[in-house]
Amino acid sequence: MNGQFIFSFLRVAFTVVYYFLVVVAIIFVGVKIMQFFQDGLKSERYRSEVIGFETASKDQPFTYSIDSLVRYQPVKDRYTAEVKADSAAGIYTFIVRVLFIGLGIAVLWNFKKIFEQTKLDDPFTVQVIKRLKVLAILFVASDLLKIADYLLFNRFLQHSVQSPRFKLVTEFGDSIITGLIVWIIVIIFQRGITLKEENALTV
Amino acid sequence: MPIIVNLDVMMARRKMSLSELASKVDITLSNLSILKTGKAKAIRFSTLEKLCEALNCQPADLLEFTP
Repeated sequence: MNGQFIFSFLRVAFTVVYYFLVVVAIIFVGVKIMQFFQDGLKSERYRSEVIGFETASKDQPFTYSIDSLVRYQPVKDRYTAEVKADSAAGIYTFIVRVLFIGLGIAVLWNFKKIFEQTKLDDPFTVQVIKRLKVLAILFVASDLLKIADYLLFNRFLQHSVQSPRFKLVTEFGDSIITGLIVWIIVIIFQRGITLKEENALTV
Repeated sequence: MPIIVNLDVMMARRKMSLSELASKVDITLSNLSILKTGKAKAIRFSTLEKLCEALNCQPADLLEFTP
């Protein structure tokens, strides 16, 4: 497979995924608005996975497979917490989920634009560098949003449930690393533009 | 830039136009114009050789260093 084929395939793939996510976002927000006007979201709850601290639960025994090669046990202190959609925590959760979907759409839109504007004959352009910078910022912003969500959602939980102390299960760091890698690519592309200009002005 | 290209001086001495020189040395008019106006960042030896041959001069006649 040559580079042009992979490039064209990725352009089509990102375009398809982008439009798919836009449709999902519209349906998600549309359904929530309809539910709000129907019953004010009284029957709706948002679910999140949390860890409970200071619980008196003990480790469950392992269960072994027939061949004894695999053993498994329930994870201690793991819960699912559901907050009412029409509560402050519920409205906050809805806003955060919309923000995450928005960030995902923005990332895919930038990827789509990069693939549309880039020609393999001349990849080093100022437009591509601008899009890559925006992508790096979006990746870092998504992890910062995860950290803020972790801190704020825990406050909501502790306000309603003092014991056990629940903490939201979340992972962050990978998007910050991705953003930094993209920024390194920006630096390389900036150098590429400099070399391209020097080559153009070499007689 | 400390290096000055005296292409227009040599062209005037040899009574040669830019388009005539471009066709003799097989370089595009735009590239020669970049060289003549001092915007060039670098010049290849092959280009310098062709210019010296076409203008019947030495590299020192075309290139001048002013600190």
